Amino acid sequence: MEKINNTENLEKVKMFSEKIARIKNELRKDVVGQEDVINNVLVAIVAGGNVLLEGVPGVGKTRMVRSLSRTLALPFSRIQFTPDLMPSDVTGTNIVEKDENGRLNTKFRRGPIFANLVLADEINRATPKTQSAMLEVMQEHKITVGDNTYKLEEPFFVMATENPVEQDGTYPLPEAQMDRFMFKLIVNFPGNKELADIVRMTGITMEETAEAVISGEEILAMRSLAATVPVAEKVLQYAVNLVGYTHPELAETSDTAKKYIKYGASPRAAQALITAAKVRALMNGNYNVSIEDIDALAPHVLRHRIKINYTAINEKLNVEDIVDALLKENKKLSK
Amino acid sequence: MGKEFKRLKKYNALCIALKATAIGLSTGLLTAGILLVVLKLLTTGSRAIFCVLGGVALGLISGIVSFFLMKMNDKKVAERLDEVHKLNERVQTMVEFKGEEGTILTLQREDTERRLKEISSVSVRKGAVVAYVVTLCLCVGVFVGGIIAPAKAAPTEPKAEIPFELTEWQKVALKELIVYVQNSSMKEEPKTETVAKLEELLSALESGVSERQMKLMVIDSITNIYVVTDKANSNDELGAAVAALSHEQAKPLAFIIGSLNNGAFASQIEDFRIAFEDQAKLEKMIVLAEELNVALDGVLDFDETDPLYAAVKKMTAALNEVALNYPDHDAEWVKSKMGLLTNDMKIEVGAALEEQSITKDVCNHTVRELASIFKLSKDEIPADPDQPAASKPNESDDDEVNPGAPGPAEMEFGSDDTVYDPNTGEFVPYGKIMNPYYSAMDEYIHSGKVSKELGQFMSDYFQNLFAGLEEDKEN
Repeated sequence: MEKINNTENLEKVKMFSEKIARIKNELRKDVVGQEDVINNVLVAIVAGGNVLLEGVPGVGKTRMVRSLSRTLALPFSRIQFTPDLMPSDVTGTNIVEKDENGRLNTKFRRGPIFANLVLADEINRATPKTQSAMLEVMQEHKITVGDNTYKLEEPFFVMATENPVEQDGTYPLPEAQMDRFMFKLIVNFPGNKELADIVRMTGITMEETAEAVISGEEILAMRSLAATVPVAEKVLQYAVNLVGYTHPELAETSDTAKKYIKYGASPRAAQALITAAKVRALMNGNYNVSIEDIDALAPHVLRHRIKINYTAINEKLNVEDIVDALLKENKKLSK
Repeated sequence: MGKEFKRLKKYNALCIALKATAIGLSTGLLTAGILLVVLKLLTTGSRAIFCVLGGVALGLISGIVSFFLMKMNDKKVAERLDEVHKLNERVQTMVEFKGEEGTILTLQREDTERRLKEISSVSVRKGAVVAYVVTLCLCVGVFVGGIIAPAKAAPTEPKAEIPFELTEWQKVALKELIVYVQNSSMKEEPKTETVAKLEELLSALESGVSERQMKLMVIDSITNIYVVTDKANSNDELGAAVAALSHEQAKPLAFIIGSLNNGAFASQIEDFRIAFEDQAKLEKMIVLAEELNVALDGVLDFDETDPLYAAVKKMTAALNEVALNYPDHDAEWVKSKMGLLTNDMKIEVGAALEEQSITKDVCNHTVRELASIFKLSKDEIPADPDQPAASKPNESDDDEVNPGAPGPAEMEFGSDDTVYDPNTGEFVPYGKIMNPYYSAMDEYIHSGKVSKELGQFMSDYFQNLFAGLEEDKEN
């Protein structure tokens, strides 16, 4: 019996690894390079988190999400955020219709948010009011319109993009909304070789060619499996300490926070770290979360949740430098 | 818990036990070694056993304490394994979730065990081993050093002082000596000081001292008596001043003064008188007079009230007068003058010499008595610091020099030291006068005027003198 159980367990994990590998292979058909971004996107997908992709135009943010949607075989919708976009344009609205008897009835017309994978393109171009329409959806996976609440089908993800260059006509995302993103991933400009590959690919086709390789149920199964990955107390405490050290107002905090941080990450950051670390561990063939997993994911979890102060700005330090310093300090203090 | 983890846990416990043993041994050896060295430096006597026991005790305690401090529970072992072998918290996770079941947990356990299997039990850190071995060797070195270090030499115990008991007869003899000095014709100042010294001695001896202390006190008293006597007598300095003169007559004169030989002085003065009557020798006498004058004036620190000094000065002046005026006068005048001069000198210089002679005699007698009462050996008696005025004149010198002039007084039994013979009025060797003295002593003893002990003491004294004489005759 034990042998059979062991075999089943191994099969489950093997299935996990295989699925991930297949998704990556499919994505590589449409996306050149960006291996780290792809890995972290997949971590977020399996962990059930939302991702904010930041990068200059043309680096493949939207293409990556569209390609991902193809591999997941899940209903996908793209919302192009513009300054004139209304909340009802996102969530849906009640409309008045004539039935077959000619009577007027109100009916709720679902908005583009009703999908499994939603691409919120250039989310920072929408007004705060429209942006706030995403808050409930991203956190609770449901929409309230009037007196009715509509639950979204699982798995549900929001992949948002933003352009760090264009600041005119944009509305920076509020902290509350930023906190709803598990990761903020920086999509960098491709290297020379990668750019050459992109150009070659462009000459062949502009369409995504990835195929569906995983269903929603499988993603949910992978999520359940990842959730069982054990976290040792020491690793848990390491992650918790890291988030705590981002708060300058706490008694036991880091010197970095005291000097350079205006306000620190929320408890969601600690949750995101652990949840994502479990997935990452399993994706790498490990069966427990390690400090290495925490360190690898910390920049993506913390960069959009920490506000640096003027001292940091004066010293020409950005949030990446601060997160690096925090990681080093946490390591030292943990020994 | 997994088999591999248990294996490594056992190995870890063994390593800790070995470390604790090494610590205990090192501590014990170091402690014992340091204790040995310290005790050897500070004290005498071997206390090696206590040092070793102390080292063993401290070693045991430190070993046991180290073991319990270093001892690791499962969690600590897991932490160490993860850290040393870079297992990314696998072992810690396995230990923490050991009682739980689950797909991933099972796989995690198996994966961890598989990785632990690859770890050899004997994967030790060479650096740590070297450190322990070096430390142990150093401690062994300290211990061996403590054993071979030489012990402090035991101080020699001072001999127990033998108490001195002042006998009754010694007390009586000392008191009689004090009376003797008081009743003598010694000069007043040295007499007072000598009496004081003897009384001080008596008082100190009565208070209770050791043999060694008694001897030191008696020797000190003798030295003091010599000093006060020499200070009071001026014959040494005067004799030395006269001895420095080149005139042939100066040396005998110096000798006479230095040795306080009154009898010889009278004879010498007669020689002067005869010499002055011989006109041929007058020139020499003039030179002597001039030189004497110079010599006396040259003794700058001399007390001019001193009778001997004054007398010799007067003699010199009289000689000078004769020397200056004789060309204007005839031989009869010179003869008359010299006659007067010599008579005056016999009286004045003689008296001064007599006084100092008596002082010296009393001093010498006191010293002899002290030596006898307290049984000081010849070597223990301090030498008389009194320097002779001049050496004994040679017999090849001028005929006018009194042959057989006495030498300086010495405290030797049976010596050929000269003493005054009352029968003949001459200074004769000591041995020649022994019999009359002994007879006189014997008569006095049997008269009952002295105590039995003192009489015995006096008799013993002469027996020793006779014994010394016999030796001299044999030599």
